[in-house]
Amino acid sequence: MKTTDAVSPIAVSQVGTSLVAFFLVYALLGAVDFYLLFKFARKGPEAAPAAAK
Amino acid sequence: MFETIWFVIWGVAWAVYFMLDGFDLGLGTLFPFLAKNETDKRILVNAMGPFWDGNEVWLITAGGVTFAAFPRAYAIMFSGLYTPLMLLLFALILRGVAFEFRGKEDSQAWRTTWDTCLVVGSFLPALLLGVAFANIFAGLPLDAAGAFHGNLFTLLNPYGLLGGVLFVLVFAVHGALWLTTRTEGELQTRAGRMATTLWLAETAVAVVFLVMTWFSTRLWQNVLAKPVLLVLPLVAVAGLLLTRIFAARGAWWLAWFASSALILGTVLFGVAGLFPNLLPSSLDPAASVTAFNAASSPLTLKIMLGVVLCFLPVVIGYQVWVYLKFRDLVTAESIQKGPAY
Repeated sequence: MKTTDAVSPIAVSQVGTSLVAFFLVYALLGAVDFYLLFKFARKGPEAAPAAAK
Repeated sequence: MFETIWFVIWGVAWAVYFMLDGFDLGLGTLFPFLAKNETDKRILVNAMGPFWDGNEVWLITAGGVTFAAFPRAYAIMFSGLYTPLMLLLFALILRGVAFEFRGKEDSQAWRTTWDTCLVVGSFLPALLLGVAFANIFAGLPLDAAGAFHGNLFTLLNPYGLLGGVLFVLVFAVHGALWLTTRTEGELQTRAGRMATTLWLAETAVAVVFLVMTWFSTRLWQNVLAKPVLLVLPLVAVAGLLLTRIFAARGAWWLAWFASSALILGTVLFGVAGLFPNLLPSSLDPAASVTAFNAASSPLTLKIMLGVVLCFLPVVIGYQVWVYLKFRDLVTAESIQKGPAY
């Protein structure tokens, strides 16, 4: 089965919109994540948290 | 026979998903109305924090069951409902991140951003799932090849929208009741009052929905053909009434369980009324996607039944363990010490 044979009957605009949305949302969340990673890495380790109950 | 067993598993997976994730979607929707200050907000987030992702496992399960047991229904559902399901997916992505990110930076703008994601990401899934299921109950415009003749606005018909409003209200009451079981003091009182107030709206919409279901769908006719199934709508109605009765007595856990019975009863009534259809067609009954014309091979269904019977107890076991582990009340003091959101 070729990719062209397996395509669902949905509009190109729908797939295009969701593809762009995936790029934007993941880029944004990725950027926020890296910001937090750097922030907490610079801060260094905290004192050990209270022992779990 | 295996098709029927898998149809039941499919319905139960959705019902359990709505019962569990319903409370955190509802509580997320009520977030700005219940939480008056930062402490309240953190209590709300911590009341859902350890549970929401486990609850969403049941959404994956329901989707997975559709994919594995009824691949044709999966393909048609995800193509036909592409836009609403994409909206659902993005709402759930942003909501999931909101839980983890909101406490990671000490800034009001930061917290407001993620709180907004939490509220929108809770309200939108409740609404979309309600609209989607009401439309499935009523039938989707599917042709014999399974192509969907419509768009997002086709789904926003009066019955579909009423289903959306019903889900939002049912989940909101369910979420407010959940909070009453998880905390104490003024916040608990406020959540209890919210639940009883919203219960009136919930009941009004539920009655209209059940009546419209008679005219817009074939659910009642199908259920009446097998009168033993009437127990399902009766469980739903009893759950709705008992929710209010237990709430008036301040028996919050019982009220939450009654609300759970409402959700299970309603969803299983809908699913039983659909049988053998998974996705009835509104264009031509012969084009409906059923448990029989959409099923995988009997061997696949048989092997997977074995897999489910082995692993479902494990999933239920670890989820019960999580709920027991985090059974202590969430209060202004408890969120100060130890790991918390």
